[in-house]
Amino acid sequence: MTAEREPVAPPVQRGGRSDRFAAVFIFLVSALYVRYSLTFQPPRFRSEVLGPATFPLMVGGLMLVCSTLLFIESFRAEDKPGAPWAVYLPALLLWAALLAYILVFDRLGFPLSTALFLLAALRLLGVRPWWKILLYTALFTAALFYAFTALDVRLPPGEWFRR
Amino acid sequence: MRTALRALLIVALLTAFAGVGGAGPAFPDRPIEIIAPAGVGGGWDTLSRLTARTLAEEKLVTQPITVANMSGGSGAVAIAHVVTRRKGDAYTLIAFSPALTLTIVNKNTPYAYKDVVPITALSADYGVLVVRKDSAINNLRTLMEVLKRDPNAGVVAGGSAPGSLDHVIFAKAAKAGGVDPLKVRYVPFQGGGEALAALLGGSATVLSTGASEVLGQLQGGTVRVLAIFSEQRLGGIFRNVPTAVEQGYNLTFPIWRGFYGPPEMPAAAVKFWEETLTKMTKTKGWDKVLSDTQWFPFVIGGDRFRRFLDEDTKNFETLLRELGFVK
Amino acid sequence: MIEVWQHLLFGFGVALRPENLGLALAGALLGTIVGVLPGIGPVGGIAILLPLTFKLPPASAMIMLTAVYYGTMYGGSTTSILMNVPGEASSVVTSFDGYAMAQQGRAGPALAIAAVGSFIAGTLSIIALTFFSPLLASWGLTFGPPEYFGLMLFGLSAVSSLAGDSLVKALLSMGLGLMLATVGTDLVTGVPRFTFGIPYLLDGIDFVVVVIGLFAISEVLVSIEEARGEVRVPIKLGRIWLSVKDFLESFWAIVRGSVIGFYIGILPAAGATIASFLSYSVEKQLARDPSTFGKGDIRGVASPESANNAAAVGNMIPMLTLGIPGSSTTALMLGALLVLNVIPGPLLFQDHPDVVWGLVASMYVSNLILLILNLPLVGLFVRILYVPERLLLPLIVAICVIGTYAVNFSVFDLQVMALLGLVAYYMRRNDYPLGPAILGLVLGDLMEQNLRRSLIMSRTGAMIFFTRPFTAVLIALSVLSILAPALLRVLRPRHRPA
Repeated sequence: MTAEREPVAPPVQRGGRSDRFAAVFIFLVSALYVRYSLTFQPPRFRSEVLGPATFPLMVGGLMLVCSTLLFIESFRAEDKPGAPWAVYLPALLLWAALLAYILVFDRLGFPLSTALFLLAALRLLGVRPWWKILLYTALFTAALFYAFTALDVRLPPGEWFRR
Repeated sequence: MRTALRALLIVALLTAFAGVGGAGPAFPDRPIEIIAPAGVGGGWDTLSRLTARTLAEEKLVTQPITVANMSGGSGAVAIAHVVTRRKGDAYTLIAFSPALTLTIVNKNTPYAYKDVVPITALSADYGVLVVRKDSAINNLRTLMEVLKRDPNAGVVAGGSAPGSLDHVIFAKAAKAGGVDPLKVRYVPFQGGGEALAALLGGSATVLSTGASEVLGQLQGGTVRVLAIFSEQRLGGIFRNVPTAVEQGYNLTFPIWRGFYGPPEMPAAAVKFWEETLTKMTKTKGWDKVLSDTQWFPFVIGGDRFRRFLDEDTKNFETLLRELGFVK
Repeated sequence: MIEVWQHLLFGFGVALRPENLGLALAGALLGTIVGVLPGIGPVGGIAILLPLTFKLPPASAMIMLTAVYYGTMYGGSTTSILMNVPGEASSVVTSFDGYAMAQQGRAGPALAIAAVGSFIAGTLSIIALTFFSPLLASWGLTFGPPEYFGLMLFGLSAVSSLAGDSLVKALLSMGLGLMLATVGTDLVTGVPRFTFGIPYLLDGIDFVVVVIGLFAISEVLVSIEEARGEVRVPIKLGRIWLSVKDFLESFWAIVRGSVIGFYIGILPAAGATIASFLSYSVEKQLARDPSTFGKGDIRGVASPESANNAAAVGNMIPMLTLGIPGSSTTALMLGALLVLNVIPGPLLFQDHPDVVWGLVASMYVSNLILLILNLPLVGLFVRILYVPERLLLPLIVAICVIGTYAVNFSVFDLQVMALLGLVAYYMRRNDYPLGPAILGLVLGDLMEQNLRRSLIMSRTGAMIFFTRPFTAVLIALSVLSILAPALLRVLRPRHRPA
């Protein structure tokens, strides 16, 4: 990204190298997919011409071929010096926050889990100072709650608070 | 303009027909939730919403009733939720029909009717076999004879996968008519509408489905219903449609719809719901629901209903084993 | 013909009654709002209103539901263009050039051409619907499984027009979509595939969940890098209104999009998403310089937006003339009619002219309402670009979570969405196009099912595909469209003497 900045962490592989790893990964996943497809038992049914496994096998085959091609292609691609790991960190942190959000979504209920997520996300995105974070969190949570409730979307109130 | 404003106001409020709570009987003392185990607009959803509305309008339940949609796997998602999360809950009702029986028989859910509390059936639709108006096949007997002679003679369309409702309707009919259902070509479509389009467009010769799917076509004269699988002739649009029994086959296929409750629902609550729902079916409001939707009354409750379900489950199991779906 | 005019006049009498006009306006407004929010598409919007319509007279109920349906089609493009966050599958294609235009400071014209294109396409389609419904409906019925198979194959061949630098990466992306499409109960045999005993997977993975995961979540993850970075390229707001040049440039794209979308909409088992992909691909292949597509070509917005609106209208034809739902949205409308004691079927025109003609007339009206409503909204919506990303991004994520949850009220769907978001983030960072994944997901299922249906029906095996003229033509076109780039590469050097 920015040339003048010192990389704080080792750079991420982009271009050829990254594609090579991806090719191997996709190949393995596709192989598992194909392996699993082979377990589909067609019922003894007269009308059956192509079984339940045929199409998945074709798709798996396409993926195996394409991942092999990607592997070969990756040697032709240049290894681009990638961005430092630190650049990807915020995205990964936000994703982790999202994951936490949805895992507690129905247990904590919509208002609390959303507020917690917004707190974390706004902080992560560099909103300062704290009172602003709190203000936006309260504002957004209330707005979302009223907007979706007005649209008759049933949002979970939180199982831990029931009864 | 005042009506327009009022209409706008209705929209702005966007509240469904949940009644407002008041001083009512001791039970139920909390809001009720009806779970429709499918998306909005389907049979289960319509049953749930119309039941909620009628219960409120006839003042049989004064607590607010909400309808929640929980779609997935023909009832598999909802039954799993109820069994694991709502044990002993007296305030939840879940819509069901033979589609759930088939889900259970096909082992698409680890749970069965013994894990929940079936309460009562309220209404029914019936299985039908349908051909185009210009078809040379005039009645159920001709169809069965044609298929007996050459199982390849026709293509049967249905709105669901083999082993589920539309297909089982045909399979049961075929067996009653002495035709091997395994030998006849069945083409599944994504929903009754697409199957109907295939019949009208000539891709299929016979459509196997529920009577309500072909109401409009029957009325419009584009199709002929070879037989309806009810015990007696039905009224209304179906008054000229012969039953399979009339044509000499021992064959009925009610697609009943009703409600079950969560496991370990308190006995008093089970009794309350059975009585209240039965009472509801005798109201004017419910009569209007039946005539609007062209559903037919089918009220069985309590132990009789549970025995009926056991028998139904066993019959489906036998049929599906013969078809190779149940090992 | 005169009869039709009389009916139409009668219909306008119904549609222009104050209360119906009010309902159409309310429906259009609600539809636009719902359409803008990711996740709650036309089906969600109608589902919200369905309980309410139980209390209205049938004609008014249908007028309102249609206005909502229409409104969501208009609203769907907004987030695609402004934030690269398509809310449903049918507006995915719009994001390719729409977002690129927004980044070049042409968000206004992009939104405006989407509204204008939708209006023109909608109006042309309603005119066709008014005069030729019965004819068109019977044409739609001649489409059997073999024809659908041909159409889906042709649709998949559009993948080459969605590819970036690497065709292999586009194919891998499509493969991901195809793999996702195979999850769930196999319709043809009833065998559960890749469900791992999870009941949520029995019905397969919802399109909306995939669209939001792949596009919206990954877009947020990509943007956060820039939002936090010290150097952020400020988005130029630029001109808000559409210029005459923009309009003339996209005029034929709108017309072609309308025709393609309308015809695909008539088919009971195809819809707006397929229409948008196909019309985009056709537009790109017809362009003199296809390389401008994907980089902010206004035709790339005009064409899919016209197509998905035209398809929405086309969808009403099998519903009104035959009582056959062409999509889950029209299925909902038919359900609503039944509850209102109106039996949808071939006699609908005859028995309930107020419902049918009121509805048809109200479609002209809602279309106009939506245009008038949406053009001023363009100015309002582009202001979203002023909101700092550090506030906007968390809000988008929360809206996506709620919107996805609202599809099936399932936390499982949220997990799928999050996982796909991460996968798509990697894909974006490594130059995999995401469009082909949606193409594979939407078409894969239909292609497989119709291939197998055809073979069950056929008594001559695969010959069924070559003995039916329409299918044969579509298959030939697909092959041509796959081979065309390769052929051009072989032919070109000869035309370019050094």
